[in-house]
Amino acid sequence: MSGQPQAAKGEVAERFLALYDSALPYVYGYLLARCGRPVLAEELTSETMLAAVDALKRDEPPISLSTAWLVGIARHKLVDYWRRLGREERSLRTIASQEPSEPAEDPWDVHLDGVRARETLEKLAPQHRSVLTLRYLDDLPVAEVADVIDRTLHATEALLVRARLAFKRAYSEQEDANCG
Amino acid sequence: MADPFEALRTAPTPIDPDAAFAARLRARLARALQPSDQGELSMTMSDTVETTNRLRQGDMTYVALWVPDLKRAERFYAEVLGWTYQPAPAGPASLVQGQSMQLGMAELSGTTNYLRGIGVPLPPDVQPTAYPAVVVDDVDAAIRRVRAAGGWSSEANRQPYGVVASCVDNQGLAFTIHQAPQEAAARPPASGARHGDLAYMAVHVPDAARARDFYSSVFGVRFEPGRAGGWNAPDVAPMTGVAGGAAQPTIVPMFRVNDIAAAVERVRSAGGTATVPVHEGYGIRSECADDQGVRFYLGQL
Repeated sequence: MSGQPQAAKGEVAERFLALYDSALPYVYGYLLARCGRPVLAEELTSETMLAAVDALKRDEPPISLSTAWLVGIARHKLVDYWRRLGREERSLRTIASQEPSEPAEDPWDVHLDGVRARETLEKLAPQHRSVLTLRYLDDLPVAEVADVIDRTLHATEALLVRARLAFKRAYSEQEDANCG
Repeated sequence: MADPFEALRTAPTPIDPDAAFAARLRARLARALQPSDQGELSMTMSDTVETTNRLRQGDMTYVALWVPDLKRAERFYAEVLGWTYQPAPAGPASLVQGQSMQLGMAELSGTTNYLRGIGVPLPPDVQPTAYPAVVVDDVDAAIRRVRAAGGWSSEANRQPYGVVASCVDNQGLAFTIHQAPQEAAARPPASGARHGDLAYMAVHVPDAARARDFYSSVFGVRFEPGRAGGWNAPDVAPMTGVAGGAAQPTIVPMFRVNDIAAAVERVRSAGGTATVPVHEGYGIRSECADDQGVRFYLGQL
C-alpha cells in the first residue's frame, strides 16, 4: 500500500471497500463497454475485485490503491477471458489454417459506424477482438498491448494486421448483409 | 489519411451495475478481507465458482416438449429413458422427475390453442417441438430486442418464479423469455449430466443464418460455424445448435444415455424408429422418432 506498508489490516479493508464504492462503476463500465453482456461484465467485475483483494493481501509489490489499478486488473481479466474462449474455439477447429501467413493490408478509407463496428468486433475470433480492443478502444501503444497479451512486439504487430483484416472483412460483409 | 480504427476509441464511462449485484460483491469482498489464518484463498476461489455457475442470458431454465398425445408420450419415454412424472400445476402437462434441469411435457393441441387464445401469433401448423424458457437479464429490454429483430413478443407477465413473456421468432418458432430472480437456481449442465437428461437443443428452421442473427441480437449469445451451414451456440446451457433447410421450424431435443445400443433397442421395441448409432466428435448419436413420429436424438456423450 503506497506509503503505508504498516497499515493495520482493518484499515486496509476499509480503504479498499471505499475504493470499491467509488471505482465499481468505472470497472463495470470498462468491462461492459468491451464485452457487451451485463452478466459477463458482472462476472469479470467479481473476478477483478477478488483478484485485487488477493493482490492486496500479498502486497508485493506495494500497491497504490486507485481506480486505474483496478481497471488494469479488469483489462487482464478480460484478456484472460478471451484467451480461454480462444482456446475452446481452437480445440474445435484450427484457426491457423484460415489465417494468411503473410497478410498484406490495403489502405482502408472508411468512416466506421460506432454501433456496427461494435457488432463487428463481437463477431471476431477472441484473439482478434482482444488485440483490437486493447489497441483501439483502450488506445494502448502496441508495446503495451504486447505486454498485456504476453507476446513479442513483432508477434503483436502481425496479430494486429490479421485482426484489422478480419475486422475489415466482417465489417464489409455486415454492410452487404444490411444492404441485401 | 486518418486511420478509421481510431473511431473505435472508447473513453472510460462509468456505468452503475445492478444494485443487488454491487451489494453482494461488496459483502463477499468484506468477507475475503477479514483477517483469518486459513481458508482465505479457498474462500475467494469458491466465490468465483459460485459466480461462474450462475444462470446467464441465453441459458434455459425450463424446456417443455410439445407432443400430440401426452399419455402415450409418457409411456414411450418411461420405457426408453426411464422417466417418471408428476402432474404439472396447470393444463394437460407433466413434469419429468429427477432431471438435471426442469423438463416438462405438454399436449401440443391444448398448449397451442391456449397460446393462440392469449394472442400469441403461432403459425397455423405447429409441429411437435421443444419449447424453451430462455434466460434474459432484463425482460423489458429483451422484449424490445425480440420486436426489433422481427419477432413477436407479448407484454411482460409477472409470475412467482420470475417475469416472463411469450415470444415467436421471425421464422415462426415459439419460445418464452424469463427474467429469473437473483437467487435462481444454478445453470443447467451444458450437455446433461445423467442418463435421460436433456443434453442438446437442435433448432431446425428454414434459414439458419437468419435464426443465428435473430438469437444473437436478442440474447447476445455467440455462434460459431457448425456443420452443413449450421451454427452452434457453445456458451449456452444446454448447448444449442441451429440447422437450416427445414420446411417448418421445430426444436429437436437430444437426450443423454449411458448405453446407446441398448437405448436404440428400447426405442424400436417401444414402437419408435432409430438410426444406426454414428460416432461424432462429441459422442455417439442416433436420430430417432417416438411412436407418434416426434423426432428426438439420443447421445452417448
